[in-house]
Amino acid sequence: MIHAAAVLLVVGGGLWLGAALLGTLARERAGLLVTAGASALGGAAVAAGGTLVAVHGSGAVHTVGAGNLVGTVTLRLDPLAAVFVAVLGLVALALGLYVPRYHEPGAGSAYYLPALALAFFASLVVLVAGNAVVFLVAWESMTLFSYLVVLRHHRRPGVGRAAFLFLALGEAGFALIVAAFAILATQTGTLDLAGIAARSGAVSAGWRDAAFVLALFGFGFKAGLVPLHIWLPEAHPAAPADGSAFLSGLVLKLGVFGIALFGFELERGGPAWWGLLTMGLGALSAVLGILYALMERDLKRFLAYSSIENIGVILTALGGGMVFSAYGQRAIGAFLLLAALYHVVNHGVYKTLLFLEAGVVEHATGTRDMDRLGGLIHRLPASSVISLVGTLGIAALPPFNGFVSEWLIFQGLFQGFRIGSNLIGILIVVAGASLALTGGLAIMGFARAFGIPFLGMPRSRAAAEASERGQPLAGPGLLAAVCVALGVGAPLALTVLDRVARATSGIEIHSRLLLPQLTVIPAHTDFAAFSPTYLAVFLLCVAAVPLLIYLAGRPRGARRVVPVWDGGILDFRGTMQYTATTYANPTRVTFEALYRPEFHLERASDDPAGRSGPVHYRFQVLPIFERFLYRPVVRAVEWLADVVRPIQSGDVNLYLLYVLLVVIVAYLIYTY
Amino acid sequence: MNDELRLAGELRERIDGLFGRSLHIRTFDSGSCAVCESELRLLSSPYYDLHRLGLFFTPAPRHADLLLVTGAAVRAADAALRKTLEAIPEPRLVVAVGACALGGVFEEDELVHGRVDDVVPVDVYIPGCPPSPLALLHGLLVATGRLEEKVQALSFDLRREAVA
Repeated sequence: MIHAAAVLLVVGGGLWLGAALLGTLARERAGLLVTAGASALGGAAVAAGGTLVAVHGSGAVHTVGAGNLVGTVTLRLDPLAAVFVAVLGLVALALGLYVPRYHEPGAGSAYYLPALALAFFASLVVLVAGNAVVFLVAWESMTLFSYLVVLRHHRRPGVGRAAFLFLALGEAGFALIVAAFAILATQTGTLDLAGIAARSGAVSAGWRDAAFVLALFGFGFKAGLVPLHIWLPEAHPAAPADGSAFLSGLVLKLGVFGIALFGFELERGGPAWWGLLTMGLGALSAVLGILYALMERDLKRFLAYSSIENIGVILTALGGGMVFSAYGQRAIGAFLLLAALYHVVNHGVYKTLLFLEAGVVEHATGTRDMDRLGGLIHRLPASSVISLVGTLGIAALPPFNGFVSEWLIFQGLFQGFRIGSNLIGILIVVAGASLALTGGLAIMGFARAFGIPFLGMPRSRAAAEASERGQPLAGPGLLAAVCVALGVGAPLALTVLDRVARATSGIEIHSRLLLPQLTVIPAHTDFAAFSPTYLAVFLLCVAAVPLLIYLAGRPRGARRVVPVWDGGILDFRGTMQYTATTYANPTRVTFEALYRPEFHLERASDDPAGRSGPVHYRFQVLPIFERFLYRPVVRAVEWLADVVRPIQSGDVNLYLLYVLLVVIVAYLIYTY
Repeated sequence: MNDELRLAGELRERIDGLFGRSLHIRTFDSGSCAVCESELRLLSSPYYDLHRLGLFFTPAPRHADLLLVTGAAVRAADAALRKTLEAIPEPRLVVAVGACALGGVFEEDELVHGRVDDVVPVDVYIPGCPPSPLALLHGLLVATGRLEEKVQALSFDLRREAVA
């Protein structure tokens, strides 16, 4: 089975490389189609390969080119990485189906599609890297190709800056990741990941701590951990829809993968405070992510903040799992790891779906501003249904997939009382409570993000004239089906993920996780239990009752159809409806201390009769992190650049002298 | 007082039979001086206690059975009045309340119609400036009688439409 998986992954990777070459032909319609096809086929192969490895539940290592000039290239198949590989494959498959109807053939596509295919390939190599050098090279390539993906519309205002922010924070994170690997590599004397994992137990506590914290923050830049998250709401709207879907669906997950790699594999069995730090930052990201999301009117910025929230949920679970493991509750630790991985898969599916649908909405109406949309359910019926499935999934409502993973995470965190230390137990429950707040706000946020654009009346002419003709349906539709499958078929998914958790943590929890009656129980049989499958059946039955009552009680005979009651207003318009801004206003008032909104009100005149002409009202949430954390850093860097500017004369001879001096100094250091 | 109790008893029975214990009223002010409204409001006081009769005021025309219009029908309210009537499901009734609504106070000019009848068809008129609560109750009683006729007429219409 593992050989079949390896073959599938090689085929998938090869197809993506092929797609990168073919992508240069995307100036023509045929080239675009062939590229998308190769990319989708590669995605299908990679998804199948990743799933096979996860089902197999154990890994394999393959070394190529031992002892050559670039060093040993080791690739490995690992169950933990396999989950992410499967997500990568699925995302690539959905994007491949989406691309032909979203992108026009042309020079832009001919540069963009190869970058995207190479980003897929680099991500795959990150996940199958068996050695630190391969990992780092692939990681850096992944960042660079993702940067190119964000730059697709580089002529549009703000895109260059957003892409630069992505790159700059990515590189800052990369420096920390290199340092983390360097510490482990020098302390264990090997670059091989399996070797590091085997020997890291003997490394002194101080170095282990340093490596973990560096890795947490380094990967946190990619994952979008608060306060390292500021590139997300900038880069996501700048990128094309499929690019944003790739960033949120996969690139963020690679950050999570890195943190899980260090916490659960390379430096297994760390102290409890690693877990507490991860959990605390996760809970902070979750709450702040969704709170900031609620203030956004731009669909993609909203989704980007929601990604920060979901990454926070995942890291809360991962961190909680590390804390439980550190206190000897290894079954709950493994259970939370499993729950976090489930959420990784779920978020990969529904966030990709929602970004793709945001792209559909943008193409159909020309705007992403919720307050200019409305009534799209009549204009884009199929896309609305698909969006609704994704929305219900991400709002964690049964019987969709998000509900299962969030329920598991809550059940895991509520086991905090099983830890001997009261303080730690309370901290874990507080993290659980933060997630409860997050969950409530997320339902509000997604009721808003679906209700305002899709329901009601159109708020602009563009929204009223939107058309579904030619819009991509297959990619998001596939993901919607996966959303339902992962919700209703949770017992099956849990069986697979349990093998991954077992291979990673060495704890068998399967017998304590699933009852034969398709019922899930969180590690301890006496606490809680539910069956996602039966719940779905039950909900369908419950939904059938009012439907039948309605059908039976529907009046027969003549019916009079009248307009919607609008309060007797002369000319009721879409713009008079409740907007996204007003919908979120109670939250803004409640959390005023956090948002510190700045209001701007402009009117043409102060005529008391109200005939003042157009009134412009806008408000902006105080960007706390940008202003108080990043601005001082940027200022310091600019000041430093000013200081060292004198040594840059522009004279090549002088630069050669510098090089010579550095070589001499390096030689002296090396010899003495 | 006896009179009132008798009225109330009759009204109660009719509403029970016709509407299953409740009849909902939507009021519409088409330019009234608000004295009619203050009398209407008295109907909800413990003394007259409209609710014991199964009569209720509702803000939603979709829930209403009866449109009660006060005022001289100013033209600015035309669209709103027609829309409100349109929003009330059949069988429905229109009751004009007060001297202005009946056409005794204002002459027709460019601002007012002077009578509600010119905008929507009125079924029952309740005179008075303002009509006393007892007069209003009496009017509502008459209205339920008219409503009875309407229900019969409507079911005939429905049969005819179903054949066609």
